[in-house]
Amino acid sequence: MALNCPQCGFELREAFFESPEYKPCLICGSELSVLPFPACFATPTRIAESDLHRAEEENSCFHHESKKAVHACTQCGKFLCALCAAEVGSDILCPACLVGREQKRTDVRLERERTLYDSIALTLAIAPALTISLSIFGAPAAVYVALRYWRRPTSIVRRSRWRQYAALLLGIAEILGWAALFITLVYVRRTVR
Amino acid sequence: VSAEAIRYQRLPGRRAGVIRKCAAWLAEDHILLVEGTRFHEAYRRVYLSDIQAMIVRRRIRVILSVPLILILPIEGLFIPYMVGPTWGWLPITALAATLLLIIVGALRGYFTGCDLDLATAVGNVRVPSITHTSAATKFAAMITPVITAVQAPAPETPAATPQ
Repeated sequence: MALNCPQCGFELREAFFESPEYKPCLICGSELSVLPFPACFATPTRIAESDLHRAEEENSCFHHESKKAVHACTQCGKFLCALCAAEVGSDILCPACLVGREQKRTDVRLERERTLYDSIALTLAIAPALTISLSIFGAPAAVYVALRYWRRPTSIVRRSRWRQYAALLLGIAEILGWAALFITLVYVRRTVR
Repeated sequence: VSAEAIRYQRLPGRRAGVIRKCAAWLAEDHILLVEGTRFHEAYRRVYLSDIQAMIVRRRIRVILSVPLILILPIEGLFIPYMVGPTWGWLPITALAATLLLIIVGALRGYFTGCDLDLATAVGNVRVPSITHTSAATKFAAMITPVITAVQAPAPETPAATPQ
């Protein structure tokens, strides 16, 4: 049980765990309220010595010959020691499969960032249209971004794809508007001649 | 695992500026901290079983609402017409109300501003979406039962009774 002050990093004393009332940090004086959970008082689990060293008749880790295999990779089946096995949800993965999943973006639990192409497309459709004239560039760009990244996933927490549909419809409407304007201008010019 | 497989529930506290935004979401086994811009999101996961404590630090933070500040000059444009028969006192009332909202927001941050950290065995993780003690209290009320349930010791299997 060792919690640190978020401001100065100094270890918080026992009194903080007794009640969630605000108390000052001894070093920086920041007023802190601590709400401890059961994990705070649990003894940390350590890897057993017997799980690290391999006996003669036991299987070895794929990466460490001297270490005992205690897991098999869920994806590729390699034997892994307690140090090499990475737990991702209910899966146990070897380092290579873990990196592979992260790079291929096949597992949402390993994703660290996403670009929101639906928001980009919608902004390209709306923002230039506010100036009217710039929409001649913004509308095709919005349609391109919406169609080019149609299959790309949007935000992890956002399910709806209305931005993509709205960007596409707005972009097409603006393009049709410009086309109608040009046709009308050409027609008027010819009629005047 | 696809995104559809994980159900997220929004947690109290949210910061959504003109460009930057951040929020916190609760999944079955983790808290997802989302931070980024309108066009890009960065994710950070804190697993419920790893959270040792929640630390709230009181601090003064004056948060000015950018959208409200941006509305001010637009409202100001209507002031010349305020005595006219069409608009009456509406523009000046709207301007005063906006100013009041900005001041109340700033004062609220001054008196109830805070930072919230989730303490794990390897260090503290700041929750950027929490800026006020009221949001921190709601956040705690929502995650405490979930974390306690996840961290509760598994019930021991009853010993086999001798026949």
